[in-house]
Amino acid sequence: MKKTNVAILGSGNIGTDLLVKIHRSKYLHCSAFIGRNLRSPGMLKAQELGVFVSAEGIDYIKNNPKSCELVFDATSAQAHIEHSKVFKELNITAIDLTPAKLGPMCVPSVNLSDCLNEKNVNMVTCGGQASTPIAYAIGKTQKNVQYVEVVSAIASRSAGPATRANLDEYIHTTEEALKKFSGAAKTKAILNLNPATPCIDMQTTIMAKVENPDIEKLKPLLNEIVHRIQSYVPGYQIVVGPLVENGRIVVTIKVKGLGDYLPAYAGNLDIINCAAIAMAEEYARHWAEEGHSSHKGKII
Amino acid sequence: MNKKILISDPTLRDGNHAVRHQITAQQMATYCKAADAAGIPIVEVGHGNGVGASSLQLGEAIISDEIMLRTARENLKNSLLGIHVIPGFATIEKDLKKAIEYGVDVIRVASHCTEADLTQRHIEFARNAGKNTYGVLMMSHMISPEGLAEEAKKMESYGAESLVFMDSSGHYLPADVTERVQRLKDVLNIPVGFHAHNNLGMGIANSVAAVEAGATILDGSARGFGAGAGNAQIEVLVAVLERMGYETGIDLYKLLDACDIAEAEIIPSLPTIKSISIVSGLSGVFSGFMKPVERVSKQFNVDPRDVFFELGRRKIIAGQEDYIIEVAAELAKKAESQT
Amino acid sequence: MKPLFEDALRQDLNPLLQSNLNNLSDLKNSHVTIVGGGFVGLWVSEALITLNDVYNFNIKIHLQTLTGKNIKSWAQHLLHRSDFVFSQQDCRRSKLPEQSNYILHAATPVTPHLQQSQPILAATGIAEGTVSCFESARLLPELKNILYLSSGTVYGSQPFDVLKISENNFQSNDPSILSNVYSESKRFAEALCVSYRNEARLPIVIARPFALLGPYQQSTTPWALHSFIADALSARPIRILGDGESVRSYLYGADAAVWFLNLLSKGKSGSSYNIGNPQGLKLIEAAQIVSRFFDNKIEINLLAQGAHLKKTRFVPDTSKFQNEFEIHQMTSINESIFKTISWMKKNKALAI
Repeated sequence: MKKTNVAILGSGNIGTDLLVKIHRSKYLHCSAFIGRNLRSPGMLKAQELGVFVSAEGIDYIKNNPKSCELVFDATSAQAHIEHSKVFKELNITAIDLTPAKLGPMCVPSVNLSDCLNEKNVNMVTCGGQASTPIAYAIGKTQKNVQYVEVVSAIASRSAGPATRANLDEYIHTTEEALKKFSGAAKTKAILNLNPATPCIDMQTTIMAKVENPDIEKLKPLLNEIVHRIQSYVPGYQIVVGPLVENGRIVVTIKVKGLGDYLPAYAGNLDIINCAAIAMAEEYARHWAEEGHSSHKGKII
Repeated sequence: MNKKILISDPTLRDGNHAVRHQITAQQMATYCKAADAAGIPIVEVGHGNGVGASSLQLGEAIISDEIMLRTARENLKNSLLGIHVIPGFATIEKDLKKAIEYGVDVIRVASHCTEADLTQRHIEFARNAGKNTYGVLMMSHMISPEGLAEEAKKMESYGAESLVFMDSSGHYLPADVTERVQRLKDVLNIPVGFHAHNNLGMGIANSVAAVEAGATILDGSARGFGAGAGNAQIEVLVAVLERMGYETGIDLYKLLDACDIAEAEIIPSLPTIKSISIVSGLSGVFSGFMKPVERVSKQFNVDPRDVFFELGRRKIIAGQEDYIIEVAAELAKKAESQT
Repeated sequence: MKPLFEDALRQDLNPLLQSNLNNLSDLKNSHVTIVGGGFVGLWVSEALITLNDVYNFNIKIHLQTLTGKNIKSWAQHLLHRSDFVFSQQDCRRSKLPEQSNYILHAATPVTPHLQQSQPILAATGIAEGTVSCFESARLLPELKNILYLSSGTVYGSQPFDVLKISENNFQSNDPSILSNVYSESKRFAEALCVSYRNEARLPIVIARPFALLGPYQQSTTPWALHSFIADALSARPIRILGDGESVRSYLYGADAAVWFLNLLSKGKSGSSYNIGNPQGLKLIEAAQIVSRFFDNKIEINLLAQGAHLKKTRFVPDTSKFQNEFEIHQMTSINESIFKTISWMKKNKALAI
């Protein structure tokens, strides 16, 4: 099968980790790794892998509209709002890893196929990728889900300045995703940054208040969902539960990252990248089936 | 020498930890009236972990933030109304804006001791809203004195007008407090405050060490009502400060009355240093973990002391209460495999 | 049988390590990455293999160096070991092994005598090497501590009456003077240490070495004592610039290696420590000691005796390190000089 050409916009740690993952993919080929500074560690890594690099930012895509069919945007929310106009005009599908939330929220283990017709999907948040599938399983199997709460702990070292400055947006977006996928009337998201050395793995606890918790009913779907997530995030596992403690359903999961470019403890960053790749590969397979030629529908 | 000490009273906030966040509006009203009459400068109210923290993770409060704040506001005429805010739990949009609408005067924005940069936006917002804005560093024993000073300096640069560091595990001895206050005084241009916990019986002694080293703000609560073994006991604190020649502006008799009212109306069992609190202090785990550790240990049939030491070994911080279940479950499994 | 050189090093190191095993126990079963294959890199490697061979520490050692010249010419024995890996890497583009627990950054872009003829390399190399090491360290999952080697020169030139320079004796340097480029670059490197420690949450300890001495140093090192030795080795009079009253101090390589390992394993992130010999000696005394180790009579000449020559003193106060780590014994200056001379004699042929 011919690989689909994809570009990465943003050469920071997230973009570079995506690059390493794409390098391994059977369906995707990174045709351009785009940033601002050719000497940044990410750019050097790309060159080492023999990937084409550009320091022109979005202008590279504007000037080379045929260079890719899909782009991963790992810049910032503000930048993505500008970039999205270009993607739309050039009919390029966008996977948005910023908190811009322009497109519908995408959690591959839950709504992969629903997203195939979208031209811009948003990867929610790391806590959202880790928790919404569990919340979804609870929502599907339990009666009257009144409240879902998600607490994530991540290693302090894995949270850069942007994550720190956008803590409130993280909380709001995660709460919105939980509501959407679980159907709960009320949701709450909490994030803790733990500075312990060596770093802790990302851990997330999902708690739910439902009418007459039924763990046996939850288990089959939960297992299926976890299995689905593990197909793209191998380091995802349940460490506690499902159990009922103090009248609420409790599930704790841990995410050990693949350690591609980012360290393994940064499971929070890995899970969002893995989800983005899973989505992109699904597009690639879908387009191949449809006979989507590489420049079909492009405005040139 | 500055002989004036500003006393801030978290009875209705930290005390909530001791009763699983079940202080009622009626109780809040009663204590606020008494505290106001005694001239306590700042009265803090809220869920134990501050506004927006009512949750399954930390315990659900019996009344909403709105009711707490509106009730307190109605009953505080002279005292300022304070709140505790932890970014990661509370957001500006959901919690801070509303708190301001309900009439808070003092906003204390807190983070784990190593993570001051999380408070930037909240401090800036509170400051721009014209509120008296504090930076608070919790679990401060988990960072070196130099590191604490660096984080405090960040809060000052964001616009904090005072800096309080908390001994959230009740782990300090007086010399530890002295060293930290001196460091903070060296680098900061804003007043320094200290919030003591009493796990090792050092609540008052540590507070005294703080003022002697130059701190000018102290937290104290009625009968020490607070998480775990409780805080510095406000009525003792005020009396001790008076003997030492410091002014607090508080009417001692009326304060004693307020504390008697608190004991009669709010505090179901007076804070004492229980065995488990000592372990909490030694292991350096947040005092507020006491209730959930007791509950979960019982469910999993494990020794709560083992749970505390294991949490301490893992360097679990305040807010990570969900790890209690994991640790208890693991200890239970280990015990099972040994029998 | 002729005793091997590495056995001599081990004899120097072993008693120092033995009395200090408790402080070093965290290093057991760890992976230590050393950036820089100069004097410090080699001595620390020797200390680590001694811990492995004598005390079963089971440490994996990875040494990164630009050319590997020093190892290949002087420390072949390291290359045949299974616990030692060496890779040729430019520290300005360093990629640290993923399993690293401890990092010792001891790379210097130019040898001391080239610092003023290649100041661009000195300045940019220090900055880029430091940034690159820390950027790479951010990706390490099992990182426990980084020891960054700064320099005793960051304190700036001190008045002669400062008998010992302690960790807070800062005098500011004039940054517009060529001879200050190295020390100013090291000061900037310390600013990088603070930045990465705070923002990137990397555990970083700073060591500020003063003059060190011992095998693995060349007699061409442009320090007073080394030129005395060079003079003596060439059987010519020792020339002292000035009246011989300036004061220096030298810490022997084995002591320095053990001190660095203490900081690596137990040093608290955010702390800085002077590393050097707190016992100063006058240059004239140093010259006399050197001359004593040669059979032929070596003359000592005081050059340019005159009022315009400034007397200087460069001696660290190391009480902070010594008290915290309870290390009070060190190799005597006589012994240090003797061991250095013996090594230089043996390796004269190898000296480049």
